[in-house]
Amino acid sequence: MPLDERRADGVRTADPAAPSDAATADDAELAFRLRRGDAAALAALYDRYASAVHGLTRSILRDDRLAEEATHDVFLGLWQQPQAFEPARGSFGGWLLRVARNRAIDVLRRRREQPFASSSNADDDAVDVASWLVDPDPDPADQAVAHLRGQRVRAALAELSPDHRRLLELAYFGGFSQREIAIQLDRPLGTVKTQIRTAMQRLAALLAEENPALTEPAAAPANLAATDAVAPPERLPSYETAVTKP
Amino acid sequence: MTTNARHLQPLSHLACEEAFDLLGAYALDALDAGEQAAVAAHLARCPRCQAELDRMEGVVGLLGTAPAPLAPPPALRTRLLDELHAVQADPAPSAAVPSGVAPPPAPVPLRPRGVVLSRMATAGLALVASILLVGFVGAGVLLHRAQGERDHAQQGQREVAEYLQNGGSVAALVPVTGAGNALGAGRGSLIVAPNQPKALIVVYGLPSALDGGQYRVWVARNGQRTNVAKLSVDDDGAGWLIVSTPRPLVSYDAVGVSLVRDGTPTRDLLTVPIPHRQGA
Repeated sequence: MPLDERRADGVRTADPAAPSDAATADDAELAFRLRRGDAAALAALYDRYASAVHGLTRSILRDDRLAEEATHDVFLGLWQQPQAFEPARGSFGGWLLRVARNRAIDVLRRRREQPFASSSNADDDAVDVASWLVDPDPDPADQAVAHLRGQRVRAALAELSPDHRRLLELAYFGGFSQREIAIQLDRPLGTVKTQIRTAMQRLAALLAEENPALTEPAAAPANLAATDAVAPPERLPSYETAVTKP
Repeated sequence: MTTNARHLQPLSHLACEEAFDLLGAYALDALDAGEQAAVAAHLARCPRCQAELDRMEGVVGLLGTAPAPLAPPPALRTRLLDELHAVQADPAPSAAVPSGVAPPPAPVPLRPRGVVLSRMATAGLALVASILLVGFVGAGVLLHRAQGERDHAQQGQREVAEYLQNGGSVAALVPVTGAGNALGAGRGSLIVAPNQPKALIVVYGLPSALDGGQYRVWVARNGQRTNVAKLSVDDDGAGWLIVSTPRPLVSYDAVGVSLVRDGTPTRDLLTVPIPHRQGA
């Protein structure tokens, strides 16, 4: 069946074995074609990003079956909601990895909330950041650019202080909220908030070479101090209550 | 929309400095639910914070490249592509439709708010009242979801807030008679807004354990149903979906949610009539 033939139900079919111009199209074009129900576009995006997505979901979930399902859900979700990607807000790859991370974290949090889940042991929730800070055996199938980008990001993370790296690791790979991190590390919530903000700004500066869009920080409000000072203990007010006060 | 405006108003009180301070954690999805909703409300009216969020999301996107790539099993690709036919993507007009194949109808934006509301009014004030009451409950549940459901809920909160803040109208998805006996009585809302070409569906209280089944959203016209998409729910039975329909939504008789097993609908759960069919 020709690659670009549209079925009566509106789905353009994809023959995985057939040559496709989709393989050479850029991400923006494929994303556009996806909105028209072009399955070949999805197949091309899968071929381009499945390894990155799966590497990420596997790193977060550390379970082959769960990672497979999360990877599957990411691409099926892309098929169902192609308009969710807004080109004006960044690259497709970065967006897709955020989606993948969100999906994996969702699964991770649900497992944590199940008291009899196999990974209920708190030690299982610890992320071994060293396992990916030290580059594993390179996969020859990796695209050079993606590989280089990953190396740069790992290098940038390695330049962070161990404490900042640990905070980002807990938030990004562990899926913990600032409040949960504060409890885990026995620190005031305000301190954790300040440290995470500083760590993100520092990482943005380090990654500016990789992504020029990160170069120019938005002008911070005048009274926004970019320090890493330890904040006084916070009494954990109800945010809903706090913001409703005039 | 007075009640709804009051509900959302407190979220807009977050000062710019406070919101700016939270954007890194917001991009990391590390905020509490209340903070998250407050920042989302602020972002809707602050281009500067939105620009900073884009920057922070760029950082988060690159963080995702840190783990080494790992090829998934080849069977996953085959399975995924096979499933595309069961879960239909958003249809849209094709620029190059092969001859002999009827092109899908072009999507037409929903009618302006005033037209939609006037048509709803013809269906009776009682219907509208029940629609709004249940609709607000559904939206409220989504806005106050448990912290553990933040990833999908984060986007859902944005969508609900955007629809409602832009004059959205809410219709209640109510249980089909008898549907709640075995599965529990879920509820939901269908939300349309004048500046949104597609409707938003929010559900809650549906059973999360489906024993191999899945939820499907459908639209019906002249007794003919069309599956729109799979609807995923969390452990609370809550979920949301932006609905793409082959024809304008106003041209259908009803929207509903059914439980499907092995590709066959086994039980209708929620539905809402669209009270303006005669003019479509």
